Amino acid sequence: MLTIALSKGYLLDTALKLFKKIGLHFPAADISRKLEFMDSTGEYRFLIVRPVDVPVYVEYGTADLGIAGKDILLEGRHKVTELLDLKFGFCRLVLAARRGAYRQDTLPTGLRVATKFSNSAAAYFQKLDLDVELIKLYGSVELAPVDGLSDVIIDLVATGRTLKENGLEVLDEIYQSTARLIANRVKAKSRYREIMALAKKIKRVA
Amino acid sequence: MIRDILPPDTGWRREILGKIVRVFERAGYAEIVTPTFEEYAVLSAGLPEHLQSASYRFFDHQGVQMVLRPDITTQIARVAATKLAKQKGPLRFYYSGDVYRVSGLEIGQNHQFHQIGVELFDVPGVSGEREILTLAEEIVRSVGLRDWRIEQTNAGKIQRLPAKQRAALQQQDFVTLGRLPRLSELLSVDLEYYTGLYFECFVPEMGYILGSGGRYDNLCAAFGRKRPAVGFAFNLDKLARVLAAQGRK
Repeated sequence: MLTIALSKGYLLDTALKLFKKIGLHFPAADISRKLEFMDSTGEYRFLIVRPVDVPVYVEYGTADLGIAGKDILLEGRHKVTELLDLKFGFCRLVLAARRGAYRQDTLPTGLRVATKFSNSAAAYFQKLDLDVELIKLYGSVELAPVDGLSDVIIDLVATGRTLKENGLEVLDEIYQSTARLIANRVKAKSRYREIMALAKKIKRVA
Repeated sequence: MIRDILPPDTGWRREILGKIVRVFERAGYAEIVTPTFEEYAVLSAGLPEHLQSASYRFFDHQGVQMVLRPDITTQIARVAATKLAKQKGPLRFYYSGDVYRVSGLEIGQNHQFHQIGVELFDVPGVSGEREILTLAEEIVRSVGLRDWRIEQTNAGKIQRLPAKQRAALQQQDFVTLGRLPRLSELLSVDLEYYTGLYFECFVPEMGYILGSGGRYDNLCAAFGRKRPAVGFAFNLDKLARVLAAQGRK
């Protein structure tokens, strides 16, 4: 049996579809509300956790495999093995501000930056050699520059609609992200054959 | 995590150490004891980057920067290249002692943990590697570990890859490499240290490795005398935990 951690939320359906495509069946009972369930053969066990927690479950080996966004892997710097790009869940980490307020090439020092992605943000401004004040938020980051909590934000955008609706514009793109199939570093070795067989099947349909 | 170790765990650890030491001594390895802390400027010459940044440092009463050893192999390489530079090889040493590293380097890693291992100097090539691998296998057998595996790879080969491929391999990023890994590519080799054989010992049910080792022919040169070297170390804390989980206590 392999244990696979999946992200709760809007990516869950896409992830489950992927497993259905390779021939897995799930009992009809409402799996969307369960935190833990098996496929019909009992060969695969799924854990449904917060997106940021997926690599944690995998790093500690509680889950053998997981599906996590590249954004979360880059932010958390977890020691996991990255096997496949699953090409769904596309998003970009961007620097954004109120329309017309700043330009990327003339950002002033001492800027206040609101973000959920403190590590990625710190690395970005270090590369620009700019001293900034980071404000860690856990949600509704787009609100921060509108209400004066911060000058700019670093946040994920998929379509860019939320930014637009709040009168914000993208100044720079920091990276692009898609969902990845990840494995625990020891399990990838100790259960190599099983994990690679599954990865190969997924690769064909991803 | 910083923690106290209490009975009966202390007795249990002592028992495991005793079994391992007996194997080492039978194989002709002699104990070496190196200082818990020493001058940073001296030891750092041979410390790989990730251990430098994970080390605890402080100033002594004269303002000299000291380091709590994050690794014992580097200290033994220092001894082999300086104090024992003129002694003819092969040299066979075993050690058993605590090392200190800031957390976050590995999961399940305490700030202070016990390493027990061996170093073999001046036996180049396959014969030295075979001796060390056989000894590592004897160790896991002597403590009664079940379902253990030792996987090996060639760090020297990875060193010769183009920089981008090498970096991706070290980060275990097979998306960048554009293909699924071969088994030997799943060993996360520290390339600053290892120059040839590299191996890891683990059990399937645990998410971390119990011990690792390999050939590190350039380490002694950092201290002034080139000497082929090969060795391994086991983490006693992890070994004790796995043995307990396997019901060997």
